[in-house]
Order: sequence, then structure tokens, then C-alpha cells
Amino acid sequence: MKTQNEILTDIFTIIKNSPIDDLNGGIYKKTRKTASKLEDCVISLISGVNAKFLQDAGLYVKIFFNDIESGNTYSEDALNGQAKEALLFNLSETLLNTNGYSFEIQSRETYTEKVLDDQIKQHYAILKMNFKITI
Amino acid sequence: MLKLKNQKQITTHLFKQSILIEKALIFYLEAFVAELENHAKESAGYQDQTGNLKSSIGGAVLKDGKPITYKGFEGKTEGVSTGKEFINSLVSKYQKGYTILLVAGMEYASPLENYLDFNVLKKTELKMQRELPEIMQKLKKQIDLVR
Repeated sequence: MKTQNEILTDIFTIIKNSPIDDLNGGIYKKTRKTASKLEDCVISLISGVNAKFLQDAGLYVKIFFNDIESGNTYSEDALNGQAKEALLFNLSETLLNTNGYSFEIQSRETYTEKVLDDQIKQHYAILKMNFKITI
Repeated sequence: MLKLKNQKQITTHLFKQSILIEKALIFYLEAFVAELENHAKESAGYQDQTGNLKSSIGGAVLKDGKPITYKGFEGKTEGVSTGKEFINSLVSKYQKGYTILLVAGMEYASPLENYLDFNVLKKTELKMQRELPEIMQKLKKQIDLVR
């Protein structure tokens, strides 16, 4: 059994030792700096039951990337998005073999989505995966 | 003690049994979908300003790709129609056996959960994963008692 903060720290450490750390942004738990234009990575959780110690939860890892501008119109940089999705997929493979956690491969999803704020001209690639705590 | 004398009686008996089992299975799945739909609304991590998001939450039980029951989709018209449209767009993906679906149909449901970390359906998905095996176990026990 672990607390939400302990889990976020475990995942943070794994990402810190992965190629995601080489991106130009930071790695953050829950929220990143306001109005950041960098390729940040943000880790968050939604737990199954509201309790101090978690048994199961959904993990969300997002990597932000800038949109392409053409004539003041912004659109997704699909190639970059694909590269970020690949980074997240590789991360998910590491997570599947992480001691103390049982990540569920059938719940794994990676895709890109537009940031829900028109002021931020970015998309993010997201990895979603459910897990259970095994220790 | 049930005594069956010939092939016809055995076939009829098995047919009746399979209908009973199917009815029980559908009953459990329908009740579970209704429970999940309520859970999704009660555990919402967002303020539903227009009422559309909660109205777009609903579920369905499918048999071989055909909806048997719909639950939820109540309230604001836009939410209801968007939710129903969305769930119907998914039905064709599940052609075999029994399927339960639960959706939040509004377009912003996904970024709300992914970007702003407000629970929309994730807690309910986790509840479903925890409880569905227990429900199937309960059903199996009841079937064993009838046999």
C-alpha cells in the first residue's frame, strides 16, 4: 500500500531515468509551470477509492509539445506527436516490469489531444494505464 | 431429483436452463450498468455548469452487437443526444457475446479528465474492474444452486 505522493515519486524517478528527461521541459507531479511553452512531462493519478493508501489507480503521463504555426493558424505537429507517443509507449513497457506495481496492459492507451486552453498553443501526448499496488 | 427420460426432455430442460441463466446474466449486467452510471455522476470531480456532461453519461448492455438496454442519458437535451449518439457509434465494435459500455459523450469529457485531472469516468472504470469479477462469481454460484 502506498500514498499518492509515494506513487508519484516512484513514477517521477522512473521517468527521470528515461529518455523523456532529455526533452527541453521539466518533469512535474500533477501540475507544470503556468503558461509554459516547453516540452514538459506531467504525471498525475486518479485513484479508485478516496483513501490515504491506494490500492488501484489510473496513471496519466502527459508530454506537451508545441503546435505548428501557419498564417496565424495553429495546428498539431503530428510528427512530433508521434515521437512523443513513442517515448510514452517505451515508458509503459518499463512500467509493466516495475516491481511493486501491477500495470494492466489491456488498459494502456496513448494518443494526442489539444490543450484545453486556447492561450496555450500546444498539444500533448498522453499515456493512460491502470495499475494495482502489489506491496 | 429431476428425472429426464429421453433426448427431447434433456434438450428441452437444457434450453429452459440456458434461458434462465441468460435472464439472470442480463439482470445482473443491467443492474451493474445502472450502478456504474450513478457512480460516475456521484463521483464527478468537476462542476457541471451546463448540465450537459452529466446528461451525456450513460451505459448500455449489448448482446452480440445489439443493445438490449440503455441506462442514464437523462437531463439536458444536448447532453442526452450527444451521449446516445456516442454510445451508438461504439456498438458495432462489439459483435460477440455480452458487452457493457459506459460513456460520457461530450467532446470535452476527455480533456477535462486528461488535462485538468478532474474525474469523469476513471474512478468508475476502476470500480468496474474491481467488482465485475465478483458479480460474475455471484452469478456462477446461483447457477450452481439451480443445477
